[in-house]
Amino acid sequence: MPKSVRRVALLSLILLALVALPGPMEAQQPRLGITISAWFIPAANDLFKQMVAEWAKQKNVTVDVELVSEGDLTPKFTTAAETGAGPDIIQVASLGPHLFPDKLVDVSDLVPALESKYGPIAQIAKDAVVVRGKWRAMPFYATPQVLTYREDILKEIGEPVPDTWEDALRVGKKLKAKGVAWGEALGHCPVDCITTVYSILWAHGAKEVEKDGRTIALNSPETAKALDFIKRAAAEAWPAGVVGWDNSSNNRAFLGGQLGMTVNAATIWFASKKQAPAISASINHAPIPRGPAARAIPFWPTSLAVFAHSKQQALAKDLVRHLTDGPQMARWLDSTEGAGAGLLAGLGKLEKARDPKLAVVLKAIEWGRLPGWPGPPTRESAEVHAKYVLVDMAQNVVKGTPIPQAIEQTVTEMKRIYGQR
Amino acid sequence: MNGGTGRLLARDAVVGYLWVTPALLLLGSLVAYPFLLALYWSLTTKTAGIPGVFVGLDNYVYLLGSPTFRQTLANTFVFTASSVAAKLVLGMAAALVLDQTFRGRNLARGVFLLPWIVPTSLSALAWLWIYDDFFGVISRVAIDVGLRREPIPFLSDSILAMFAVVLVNVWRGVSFFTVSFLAGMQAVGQELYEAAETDGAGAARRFWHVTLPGLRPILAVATLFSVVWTFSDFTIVYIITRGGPANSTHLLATLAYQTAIFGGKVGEGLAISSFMFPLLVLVIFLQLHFLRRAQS
Repeated sequence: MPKSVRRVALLSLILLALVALPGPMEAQQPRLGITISAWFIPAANDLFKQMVAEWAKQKNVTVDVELVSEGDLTPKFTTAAETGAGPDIIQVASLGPHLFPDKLVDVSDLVPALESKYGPIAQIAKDAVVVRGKWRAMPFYATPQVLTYREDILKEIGEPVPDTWEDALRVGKKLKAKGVAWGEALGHCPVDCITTVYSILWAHGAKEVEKDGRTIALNSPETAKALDFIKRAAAEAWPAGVVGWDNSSNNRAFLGGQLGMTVNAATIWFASKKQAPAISASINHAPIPRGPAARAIPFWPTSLAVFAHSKQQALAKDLVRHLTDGPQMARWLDSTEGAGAGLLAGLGKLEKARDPKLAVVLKAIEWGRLPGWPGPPTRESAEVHAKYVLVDMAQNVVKGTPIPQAIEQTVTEMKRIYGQR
Repeated sequence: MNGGTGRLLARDAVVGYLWVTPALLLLGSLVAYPFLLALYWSLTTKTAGIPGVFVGLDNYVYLLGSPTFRQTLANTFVFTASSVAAKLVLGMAAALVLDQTFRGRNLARGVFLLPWIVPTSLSALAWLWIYDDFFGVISRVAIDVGLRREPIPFLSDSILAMFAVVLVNVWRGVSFFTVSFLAGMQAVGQELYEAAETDGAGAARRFWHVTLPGLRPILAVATLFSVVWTFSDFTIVYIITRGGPANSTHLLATLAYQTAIFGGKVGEGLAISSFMFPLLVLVIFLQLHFLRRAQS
């Protein structure tokens, strides 16, 4: 081997060793990381960063804010919980705290002060985060979904805003004939597609499990009725491709003038102000339709959790306290221009007046349910939800599987998930 | 440099080991360790953040009884077989064209590589738009020229959805075959073609008796590489269909991800991805076999 090569070898080894050695210890500010889902209104993201920065300055702490897409939140959460590394604080979607309660710091002591000042935290938000009597995360906010419709088109076809799913179907048929259809997502998508199936099932009185959260109760005449409704809606009113739709399909179609009615968060309306000013003024919102049994909708409360692996737990908890405190929450909700909903009863008084078109957003919490209803949230119901088990049932029916057979297949799959193999 | 180190480094063997150590450490810590851990976890009830208990082959038995899994396994074979076959044929055709002398040949060769260079996630997003019901260019044009009254259900019809994801994989992967074949064609001796021509062989017979035998080693290796990549594909399906409609496009990789990351069942998810292992081992064995034959 030539001498020069040997020298290079030795030098690279020395360099490697130097890089690997720890540098001199510096007196550094404590550092925290927080990961949250990016909001679709940029001003709300800026305000969030500002709120964190204000707190950080007060406490002389450095905080890294990471904004990720809504769909990346769960992978981030799972990975951090599994590896014990990653951010100190994370925004958790829906039933997340039930998946790994032991990986999250107990934040129960933050609750009394908050509730005494601003009234009780909504029960549904509490159910999502309290595991075996301990608060594993602090309720943050929700982005409720409502029936988004075009007033001008409904007027043209001479129909009022539908109150029941059957009304919606009647209106939907007319809308289809007019070329500005009613459409609901029915693909493998984490929010809209779940809403379509769960809302219609619940509205007809169907349920996955009994109150005990263990006894599978899907095989019922109510489930069959709900599936029959989905089948009729897909055949008679919805656009042909709904089983391929994702979260953004109905947004795009609505903004492009192809849809006149769909269940969605207020995202369509916000986007319309810039992207479709011609229809913006005629867009309005109403409660999700009801069925013979109920008006119901999956509600997605999000929460802020502190990881047990955090080396700055006290500071992290204080940042969570600061961000979920009334004045901060109200300030941030204002920046969402009414599309976000707080989970504290008394927040309404602190917020600025909402746009009347969005008043219904706040009411959605009354009809909100968590996956696994009427049972308590469980790891199994979260799995049924995450694996699109009920969505697949509806898709199969739309694609021609007889309803009893589709239900039976789904019950088999559920039995496997619930450990009744 | 002092005398001692110098003497030590003078022995080539020691230096050789020193050079190899980082690579071995990297392979060991980044490939072997995670792989063995994954295999072990696939034998447990591990969920994210919780160790789980050892259950032997329970996860595997459970999966083989699951209709969703069996469908996914079948999907993966259909996806791989049809994608690789299409890439092979189209790649060969493109290579034959690009092997001819014509103006702008180098530019054409460069352009042909583009789909392979674009990050998969970006091209998958672009295709998602192409397939869109309302604004996708194919459906739009079909409706505008009066061929169809409704959009083509690329993502909502089970068969079309599989076709849609295969098409994207083919579009992306064809250039790998083309480039490999082109390189192989340069190596086939011109004198063989001339001799064949003198003997009166037409273009088809020259291809069949000269080009194809000359390309055989490269053909085998490129196909096997492609089988490995296609079999373990994830991005295209994850972005375009998420396994839908009704699980008709789920691949082992996407089902494993959905089960382990979203469903939280790490053990089961790893068992799903472990099903890829025996097949890929077979493919790699064949690959090495052909490589060795090509070398000798």
